[in-house]
Amino acid sequence: MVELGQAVASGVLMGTFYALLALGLTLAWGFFETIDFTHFAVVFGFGYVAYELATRGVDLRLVLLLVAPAGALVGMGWRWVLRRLRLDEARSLVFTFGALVVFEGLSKLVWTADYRRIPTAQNPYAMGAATLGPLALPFTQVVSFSLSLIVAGAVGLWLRRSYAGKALRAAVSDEEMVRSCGADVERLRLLIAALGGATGGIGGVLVAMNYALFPNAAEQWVGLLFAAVILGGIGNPAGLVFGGIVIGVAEALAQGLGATAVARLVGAAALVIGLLVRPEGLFPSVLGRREG
Amino acid sequence: MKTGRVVLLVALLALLLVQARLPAQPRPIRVGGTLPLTGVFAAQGKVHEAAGRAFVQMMNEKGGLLGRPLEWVLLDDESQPDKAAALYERLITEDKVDLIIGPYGTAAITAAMRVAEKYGYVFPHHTASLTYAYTYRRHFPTWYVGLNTHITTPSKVFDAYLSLPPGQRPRTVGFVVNKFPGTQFLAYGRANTGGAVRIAQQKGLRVVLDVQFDLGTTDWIPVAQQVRRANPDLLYVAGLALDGVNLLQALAQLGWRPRHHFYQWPSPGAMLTALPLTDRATSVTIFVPHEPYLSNPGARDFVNRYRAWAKATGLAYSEPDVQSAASWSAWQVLTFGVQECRCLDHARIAEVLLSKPVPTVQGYLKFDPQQQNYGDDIQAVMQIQDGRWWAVWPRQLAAEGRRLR
Repeated sequence: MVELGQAVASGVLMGTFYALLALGLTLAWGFFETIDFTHFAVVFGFGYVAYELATRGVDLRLVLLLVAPAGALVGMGWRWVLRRLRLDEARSLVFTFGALVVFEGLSKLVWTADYRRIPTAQNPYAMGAATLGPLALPFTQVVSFSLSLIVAGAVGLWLRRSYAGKALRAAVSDEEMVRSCGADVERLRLLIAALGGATGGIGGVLVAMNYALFPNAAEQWVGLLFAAVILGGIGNPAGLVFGGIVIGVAEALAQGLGATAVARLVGAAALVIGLLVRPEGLFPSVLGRREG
Repeated sequence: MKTGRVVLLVALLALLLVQARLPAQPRPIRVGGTLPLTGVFAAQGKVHEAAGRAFVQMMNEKGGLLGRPLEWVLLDDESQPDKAAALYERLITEDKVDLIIGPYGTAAITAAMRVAEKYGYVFPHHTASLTYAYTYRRHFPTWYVGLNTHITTPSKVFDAYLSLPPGQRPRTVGFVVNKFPGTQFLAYGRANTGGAVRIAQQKGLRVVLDVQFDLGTTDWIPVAQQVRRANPDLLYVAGLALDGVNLLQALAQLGWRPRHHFYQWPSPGAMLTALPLTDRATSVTIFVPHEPYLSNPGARDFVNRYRAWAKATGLAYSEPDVQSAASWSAWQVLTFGVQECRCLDHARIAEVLLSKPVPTVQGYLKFDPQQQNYGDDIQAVMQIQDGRWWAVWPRQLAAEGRRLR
């Protein structure tokens, strides 16, 4: 019973970690119609930054604070670039995938293809865990869990309740109409891009705290994160958290019940079954229907 | 105008005469090969590239091979076995290289070996684990683990641990196994023979855990949880590269530390960055940069040159290890065969290699055609002690004053 509880707890924590990493993906896809593979470059770029700073003695808690504004700036800068390129959804996928490949090549030049891992001495937080009765909750995952819930909840509420959020959602269907009402749609989109960049940066630091980095590391995460995005409903932050949790728990239960070897398969199956039942995702997109 | 033309003509003739008097540069001997310079195995590819580049540079500084410069035509197989096979086909048929050297990893080597066999090329290779699958007469493995590595490797590991004083000896063992062909073969054997799980039982150890995981696993807590629950005396991780470090971190988060722990093919540098979690971790090796290994043929050259290359190319871990030593040995095998027969004829090179012990940094390798060109398992058990790797078992290969703890 304790094992089952631990598996569920682990799955929930891991699922919210997926959600934190994928928040920028779902927002870009939903609000800019951009399938943005460069979000992975943001995540792993800041992972490398965390590695560099930590190995030079900078406390990782400080790094976590520093990367949020830096990530926001990167997010906004990249949004500015993409806006000028005027790419549609399909072309954005191809272009940003190419940009991710360029990033991988550049990181190979700077850090080589060798594994880069923050030494344990500079990374004490990754070893620790809080306890909840008999359950162990790793510190880094508790951080991502809290951030996921806070950020996703706040963004969800902002989109639903605030005037700006409503304007942003409306702009997805009819941008001209929203502009004619006096809303500065592009400024709002920059805000969303900043949020995606900031959470991507924080996620990158947490990745570096938990795993070794190498130029192709993103490949391990692409399928998982897109699965969480699609399952949760594109552009829906709360749905993303739920989608991440579904995949995380499905994997953890498979592992916890001894079917470790098929855990990855179970995660993929959760996506397929979810989409068969609800092709639009388990949660509706907060964006409403796009026209044509 | 006329004078100008004459001057130009004279100058050209003079140039031609000077060139004719210069000694002709001998044509280089071209060795073709691929490595995973990109893709999932790029980190390991970097190690083998550094070893190969350092070796070729050394050969050329010492006068080349058969008096000709040595050139390595290295292509990127992108960590894909099918691409490796296609590139070896190209190297042999289009680029017409004189010799070839194997790529990295079981899958790519297995694919490339078929191409080598098709054209009759001598095929030295360094990192293939499915020993039973290689029947080509001209393949020369330098990860020298013996034909029955699924028996000898785990036997060696358990014998080492069972040599500990009675109070420290493990009585139970827990297996964590990557679903990768090589690690599965080592863990479960084949045709009901060998495999670490079976060998452990034969040696009187009680198996309290046997759990498998997929390549690319990101959540290690459920696996760690099963390890903690089983609480084995000896944790046996039949895994690759970062598996061990990831598992140890998850185990630390659950507050469990192994009493004894073994890792099949870890990334040695990554293991050291995870100290103190990895203290006393063991693995198997064919080379550690200390005596008695440093007395093997070419070992000091290898250590010094590899370190320099690895540092220059920015590798995070620049110490010679099992991978770089296997790679260097493959080059030693290839060049030894050529030097001994004084030819580039593959049939004759192969016969030389099958008939003479080959000096390498691992010692003298004797390729036995009766054993599919494998010989004895010459691996040692190495352990992390005092912040670095040391050979600790068997006694004759252990560093002075070091033994398994």
